[in-house]
Amino acid sequence: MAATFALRVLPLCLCLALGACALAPPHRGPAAASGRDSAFGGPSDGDAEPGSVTGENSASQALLVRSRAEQAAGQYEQAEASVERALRIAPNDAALWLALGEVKLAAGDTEQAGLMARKALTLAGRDEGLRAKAEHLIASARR
Amino acid sequence: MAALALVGYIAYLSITVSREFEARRWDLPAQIYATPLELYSGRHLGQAELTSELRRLGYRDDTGVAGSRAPAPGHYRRLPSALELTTRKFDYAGETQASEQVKIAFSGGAISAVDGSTGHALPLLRLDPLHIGSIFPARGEDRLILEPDEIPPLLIETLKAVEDRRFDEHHGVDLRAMLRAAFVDLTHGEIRQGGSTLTQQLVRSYFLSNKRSWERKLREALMAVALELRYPKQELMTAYINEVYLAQDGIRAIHGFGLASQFYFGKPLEELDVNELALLVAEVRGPSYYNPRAHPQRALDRRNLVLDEMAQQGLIDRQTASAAEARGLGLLPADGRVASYYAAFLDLVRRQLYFEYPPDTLERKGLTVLTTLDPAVQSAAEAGLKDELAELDAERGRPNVELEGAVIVTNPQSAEVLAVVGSRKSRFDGFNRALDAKRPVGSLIKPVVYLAALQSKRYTLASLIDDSPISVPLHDGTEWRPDNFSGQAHGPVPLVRALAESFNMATVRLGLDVGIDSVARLLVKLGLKREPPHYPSLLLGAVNLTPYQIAQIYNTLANGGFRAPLRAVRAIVDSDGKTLQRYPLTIAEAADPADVYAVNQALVQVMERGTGRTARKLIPASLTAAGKTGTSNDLRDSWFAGFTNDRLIVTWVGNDANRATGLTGAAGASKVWAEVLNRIDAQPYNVPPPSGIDRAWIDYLSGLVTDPDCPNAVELPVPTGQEPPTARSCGSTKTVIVPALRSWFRRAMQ
Repeated sequence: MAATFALRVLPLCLCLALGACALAPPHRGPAAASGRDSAFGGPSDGDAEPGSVTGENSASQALLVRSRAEQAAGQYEQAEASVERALRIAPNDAALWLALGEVKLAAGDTEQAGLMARKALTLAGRDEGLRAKAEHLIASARR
Repeated sequence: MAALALVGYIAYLSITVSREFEARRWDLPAQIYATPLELYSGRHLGQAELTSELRRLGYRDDTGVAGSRAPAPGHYRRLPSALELTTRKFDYAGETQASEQVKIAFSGGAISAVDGSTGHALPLLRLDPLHIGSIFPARGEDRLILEPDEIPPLLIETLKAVEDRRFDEHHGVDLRAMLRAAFVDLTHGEIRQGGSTLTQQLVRSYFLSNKRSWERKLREALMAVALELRYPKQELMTAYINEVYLAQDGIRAIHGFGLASQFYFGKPLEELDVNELALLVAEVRGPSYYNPRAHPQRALDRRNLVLDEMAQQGLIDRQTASAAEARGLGLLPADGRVASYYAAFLDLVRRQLYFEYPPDTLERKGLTVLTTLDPAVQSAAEAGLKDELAELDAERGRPNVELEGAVIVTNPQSAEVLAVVGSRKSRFDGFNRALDAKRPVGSLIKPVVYLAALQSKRYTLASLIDDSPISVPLHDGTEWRPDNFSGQAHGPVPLVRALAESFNMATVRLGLDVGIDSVARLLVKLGLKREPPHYPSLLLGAVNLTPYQIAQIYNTLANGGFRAPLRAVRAIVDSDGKTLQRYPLTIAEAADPADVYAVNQALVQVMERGTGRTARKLIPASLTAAGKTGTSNDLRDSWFAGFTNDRLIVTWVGNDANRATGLTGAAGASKVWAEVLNRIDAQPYNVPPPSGIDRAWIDYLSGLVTDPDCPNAVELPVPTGQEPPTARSCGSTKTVIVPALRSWFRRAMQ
């Protein structure tokens, strides 16, 4: 047992001792322009909102605000239509998918609510706040 | 006795004509609209493009026209880097949008601001949707019903002046007019004013007949009198304006001034100028004889006659008449916005609607159908196909094998169909290849095989698969030995490469290992309605599908693994403006998003390094896209399916008689694809990785982990927890030590 462990750890210590290693994570090169072929074109790690331009945001934000008002007033079909309209402008905005899920939940369609939340998760990247909300929606939809 | 018979006969005529009158009044075909154009700051739409769209909608260009007064709806004016516009009022799915005066500013090929009349910024502005057609009864009549308040008074007065001077006084028949007409007929051989009243013409239009016998004329006269007894003048005039036959468009007979106005001028009737109105009135006398496209001079002459009459009767002043007479016909160009222009898309709309609504409802209830068609994308798709096929024809110089094609464009996230092209000939209302041409899909099937492999968790994109000769025993006892297109075997290659370069042997080996059943089942999960037979040849696409079916399958890949039924209709609104039915976006999870993400990255490699290279070079360097070529046996079918974030385009090129075209997917369909993509606005493919994905730099040729600086290094997604392959150096020590250490470290920690 100890021997196996030692066998595993020893080379590591050796390297550390030799100082011949840099435990750097794999280098994420920039996109093709530099000659390196990254399949992960576009903003890295999904930190930036895909497809976000101030204008597109304000158009889809305005629709989002509207859909929330419609949802609050119980006008679920209109609220859905407003979010779908926003999605045509910013199709990869995770927050919009989440909003659509919330409308579905309010309207009683728990199955679609859960699915929309899952879709939002695939686009959320590293946005922890959004991920949390999506997980919460999935949980609510299951009840 | 004879008197009784006569009375009975007249009663019978009265009932017959009233029944027709009532029936036609409620005979309201469904009117179909495209998706409305949305304007917002940031949208990639330049001044020239917006102007083009406005022209398509029939908006009038007032640039340079004097007059500071607020322009009427349906007008715009171009300014340096800006555009002033007065939108039309319209209803969209129960929401009324008022007419607005706005100013649009442009910068760098995009909209930079949208300001309302008081100067405040509007986050979003939606224009009235384009009318693209209607669902009219089999007898081929189409009309756009106008309410009395939508009919310009000038039209009513002009009709009376030209066709029936004593309309307001007579009781259905104007004897003086009839006698005079008969006299003129006899003496001149030409009629300046017909002898029939508008009411008689209305009756005549109900009962089409070529026979011009005295018997017929008598019956018409009696029926006209009967109508006048039962219905007030205003209703008869409205009915006439909505009924009169004014033009022919292929198999579609255009009835009524509302539709004729759209047909000839692309605008609502209330926006017509005096000369345009006069032309439509001129058509009443003979839509074929005075067809302005076939006989422009004749039409112009008659129109000016009408204008003359209008001036003589004091309906317009002399000056207006002269000015109008000097103007040209002002028609829409012959292939601009006629129903057959969108025939392929309307075909899809009808099929989706007939599933739920009986033809009677669609043809008669005055419904409004709001669709997903994007006219700009449709034009781009049609032009792209047409131009590229023409170029391929020229290059090949083989006219005996005629090329045809099909294109479908969707927005993968919303699963909305933006364009359908069924033939290289626009205005073609025949065989719809996009929806009905079932062809072997060839290598288009491969992403499904590779997705099945990734789903099994026994493979990653970096896993090696042997691309070498394989022999598959078939049920009939024979052996199938698939070959690579190039005839070469490549030995062990990473999955990403086998897919990117479309290696047949590797794919078959992989597919057999994963199981043909999983591939077949996965096809259904992705959206194919019926599971195909489980033959080994399925792995190389020996299954016949239509471009539409391919679009459904690839749509699920393009939006990250969520299957949503493709939709061409967004909503149906009834004649009162109430939404009868909405078709909302509904999704289902077809496959693990992490696996789909990985396959899509491989499809990006198809473009960067594989069989999609040619197409990749034809689109902008910044427009990352994912795609797959497909070629069937003997080069009969050339396919390409490729997508960005917000656009999926499927193209097919082939020969109707199924003769070999000599075109691979790369040589034919992928070029059509690039041609279409270049003409539309698309966001590059740049979806963030979902959770559960790590990134690794892999050597494209060997599949081993490598350093980004090495040649042939490709960054690929690898599911977290799956063992990355051993390292391989390209010279740098780091490449060997670092990944190896990580492996050791990880194992040590377990």
